[in-house]
Amino acid sequence: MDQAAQQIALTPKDFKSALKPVWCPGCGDFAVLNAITKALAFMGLPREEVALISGIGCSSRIAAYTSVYGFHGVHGRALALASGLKAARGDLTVLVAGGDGDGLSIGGNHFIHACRRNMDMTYIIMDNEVYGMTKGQASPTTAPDWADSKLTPHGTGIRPFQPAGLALTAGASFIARGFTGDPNGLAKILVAAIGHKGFSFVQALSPCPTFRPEQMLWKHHVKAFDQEISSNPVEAAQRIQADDGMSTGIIYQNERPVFRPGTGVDNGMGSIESEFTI
Amino acid sequence: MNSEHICDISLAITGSGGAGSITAGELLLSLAGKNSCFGMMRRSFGPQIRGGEAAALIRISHRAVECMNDSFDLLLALDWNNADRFAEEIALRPDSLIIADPAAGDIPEAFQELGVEIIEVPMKALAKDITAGRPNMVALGLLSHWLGFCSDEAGKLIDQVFGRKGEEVTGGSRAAFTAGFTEPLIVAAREARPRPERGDPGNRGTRWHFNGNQGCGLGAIRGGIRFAAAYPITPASDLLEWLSPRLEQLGGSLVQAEDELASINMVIGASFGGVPSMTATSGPGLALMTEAMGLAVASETPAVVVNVMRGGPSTGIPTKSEQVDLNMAVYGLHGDAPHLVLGALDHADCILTTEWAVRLAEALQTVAIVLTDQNLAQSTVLIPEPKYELPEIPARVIAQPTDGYQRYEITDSGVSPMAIPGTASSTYVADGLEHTESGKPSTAAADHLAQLEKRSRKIQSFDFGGHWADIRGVGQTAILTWGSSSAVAREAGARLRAAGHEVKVIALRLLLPASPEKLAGELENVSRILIVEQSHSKQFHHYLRAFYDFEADTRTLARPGPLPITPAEIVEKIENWS
Amino acid sequence: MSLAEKISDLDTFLTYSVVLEEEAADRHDELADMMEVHNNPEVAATFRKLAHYSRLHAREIRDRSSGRSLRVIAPWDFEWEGMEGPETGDISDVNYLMSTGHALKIAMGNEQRAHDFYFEISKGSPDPAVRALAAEFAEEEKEHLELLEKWLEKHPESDEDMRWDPDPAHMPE
Repeated sequence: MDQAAQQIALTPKDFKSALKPVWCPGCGDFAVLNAITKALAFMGLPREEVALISGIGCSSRIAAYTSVYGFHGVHGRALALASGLKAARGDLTVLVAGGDGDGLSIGGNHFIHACRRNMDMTYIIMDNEVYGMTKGQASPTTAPDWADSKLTPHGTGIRPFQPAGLALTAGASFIARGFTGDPNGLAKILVAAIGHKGFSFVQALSPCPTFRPEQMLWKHHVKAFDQEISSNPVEAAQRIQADDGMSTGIIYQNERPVFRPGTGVDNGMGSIESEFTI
Repeated sequence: MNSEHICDISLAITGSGGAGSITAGELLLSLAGKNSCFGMMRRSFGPQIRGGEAAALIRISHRAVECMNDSFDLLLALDWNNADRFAEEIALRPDSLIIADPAAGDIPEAFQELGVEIIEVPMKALAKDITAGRPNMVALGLLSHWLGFCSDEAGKLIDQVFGRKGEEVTGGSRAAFTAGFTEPLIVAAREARPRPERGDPGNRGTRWHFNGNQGCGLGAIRGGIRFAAAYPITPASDLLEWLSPRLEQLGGSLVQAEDELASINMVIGASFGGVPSMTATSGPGLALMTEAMGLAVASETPAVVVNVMRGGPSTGIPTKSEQVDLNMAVYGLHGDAPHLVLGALDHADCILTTEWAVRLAEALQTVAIVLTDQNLAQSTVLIPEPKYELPEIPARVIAQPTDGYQRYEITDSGVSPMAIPGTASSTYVADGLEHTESGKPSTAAADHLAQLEKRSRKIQSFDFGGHWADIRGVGQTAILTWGSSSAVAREAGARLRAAGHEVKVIALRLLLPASPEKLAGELENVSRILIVEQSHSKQFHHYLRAFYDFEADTRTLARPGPLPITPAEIVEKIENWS
Repeated sequence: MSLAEKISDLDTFLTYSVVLEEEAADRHDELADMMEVHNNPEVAATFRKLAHYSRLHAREIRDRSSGRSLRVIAPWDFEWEGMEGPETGDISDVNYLMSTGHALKIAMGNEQRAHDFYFEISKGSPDPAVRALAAEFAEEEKEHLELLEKWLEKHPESDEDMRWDPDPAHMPE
């Protein structure tokens, strides 16, 4: 078999590493891993031309569970690290994944700027509305009255972020929401997201069986958006606002100029040194 | 003044916004180059973004100079608006001279105290009689005459600089220059004073004209940097601005990040992608970057950070120099994080040190912090073409496609081949979590120890060669210093030697890893050590005490910014050692 | 049109069957891995065994498909009744303290759904060859169910264990 044919023959399993996830049994993040590997296998991408960048948190462990190039960096900075990689290596397919705390709290600034910058990469927030690695504290997507954390025993009292709305306002050119109970549907969304030219944001509703066991009921509430993908931000904003945050599908897609720094053409040192002489 | 400094003039041009004092200063420095001189210029500004008071502080000499002198021979004031702000920076002597415009009003008390001779020249009035004539061009003429510069060269320079603005401007500027150059008051005053010797005809070689930020930029691209991430901060912004178009020219790029947390992480990402990468910042920005620098150390991703020090802590004095980020650069990383810290010693050394840092970071797959300061970064020098030779340093070791590839393989040197994304069969996950040789996260004591030792070994066992320090002279007295204090100490050393003292000046370029054996060798016959630094808390002294042993009588000359340490202060300290 | 009616040729039916069994095997392995990592070796072994059976079945179907060309269908284009293949256990149904009995009950649910899937096709496919093969597969799933039932008799553990966790979660990072 020639190399190209071999690559096409890669299965989702070929995109998994030999490491077994440390995620709790029942965690939605397993389904995100499956969706990513299914999407990559379906797209026939060579493993070495894909990089998966993550930060810190339960979900950010995902990089180590794939067989593509990966970087498990510091808390909240995955998008920044990925942006540097993409700027320097425009040829790579860059995926970024992490949790709601990593992406929307400590990494919130990078999130809005990554949306605005519109580099060609895909960002998956595995949203379980809680910090898992640190034992169940409220995150920026936690409901204000969730009082099960010792850190905020009366609840946060603060309204949560709406990630899709935030992404839209900040300028993301592709916005979708998936659910880990439907890993195949999530994989389909990811194929579209990775194929999209520009910054694609996918919120994956991913229940936490340990700290948010009530989320195991999400599977009874999640439904598909009943409208087509919108390219109109006003319409998309209305759809996001009218929704209870539990509808899945591609909400918004609108191609706009992709940020690609540099020309990639080396014109040599030329006159640079002579600028110094007098 | 001793004979070594007879043709060495320091002068200041002050004026409020729009008066053109900085432009006049820059032209004067360029003219110095065309007149076989060397020089240096610092700028000083009020807090306003536009229209504020400004001072061009210039030293012109027939020998190469690397720092400012102790005091000023001449102050030319285009006006006196808020000029007293600069009084402590522009130290005059009783034999100094002030050239002022009588229309500008009374001379501030701060400048009158010494009873300095004053020549009043109506620069504004002279300029007014000339179409498109400006007082600062009159001033340029006055000063050029004072310095004995060639007026033809000035005309050519004016055409070159203002050519694009059209004939009226160039003509007016030339005429204003001539009015100043031939102004009888100045011609007479000049005649009355001893004339400095003309330049050494051997000094006609190519001159380089640049500031420390540009020097670092050049060193960076010579070292192979092709990606930079940038978040603006004074006084590092000009370095980033300098890099942007030049990286693009070289097929690389610069991305403006949303903050310093992003810029350092972008650097790590780009470097992970195989492209030598850097950022530049200053104290507060470096503080924000320290977490990710720990990541670069742990994940063994080469990264270069040029930190241009300014007065701190906090916003401190952003436009002035202080050598106060040494502690943070050396100790600021969390965990046991072996990395490199280098300090550029002077303008030319900004090129060498930054290139060296890039090559070392690439070879050793770690973080290199280059420390410069506002004094180097934003002052311009006119010096002989900097020439240096770096030792042979291996490039980043790149992994070939391998089955069973182990990114963090334990090797004798501690350096493991790095697979670059795109390389088949060698995919791996770079990790800030402690890991095994393959990169798998591990909390095992043995893995932690093995990786700690590997990361330490690659730096400790590397032969850094002779560039660890710059050493001038011999003697039982040593001046031990670093960074921009080095040029000052060298000048003090030259003066002390001229006065019959035997002095050795040791400026440490490589700060981390420390070189205790090499320094001990240099201090073998030394009985007195003066440690010179611009820090209130004596950061360099404490650093030396942490890494080196001293048997000699060791004292310090340490004081904070914003005023630069002068050669005279060092000379005095050595001469009054008792 | 029901799914059974759409599965109108043997290639499509075999494609669905292979994917159904292989996905089930992968999921069982995945669940076994989870249990291994979380120090529940007994349940891990159970899921591993179930993975083995699913894989055997998948191989058998692949063998029977030799010489035929299976269809290439994207994972999301399969028209399963639920979110995933009928024999694929739901990840969210497991808990690290679960008993073998609980694992077997989940497996029985999977087998029951697989049986129902084949059974529907054996009744509704327009192609007699598909109907015949589907009936055969449905029968096999029924046998699996019976085996599981016997297996379960040996594991009368209650699931109380997973509702009472004496060890609080901890902080790995």
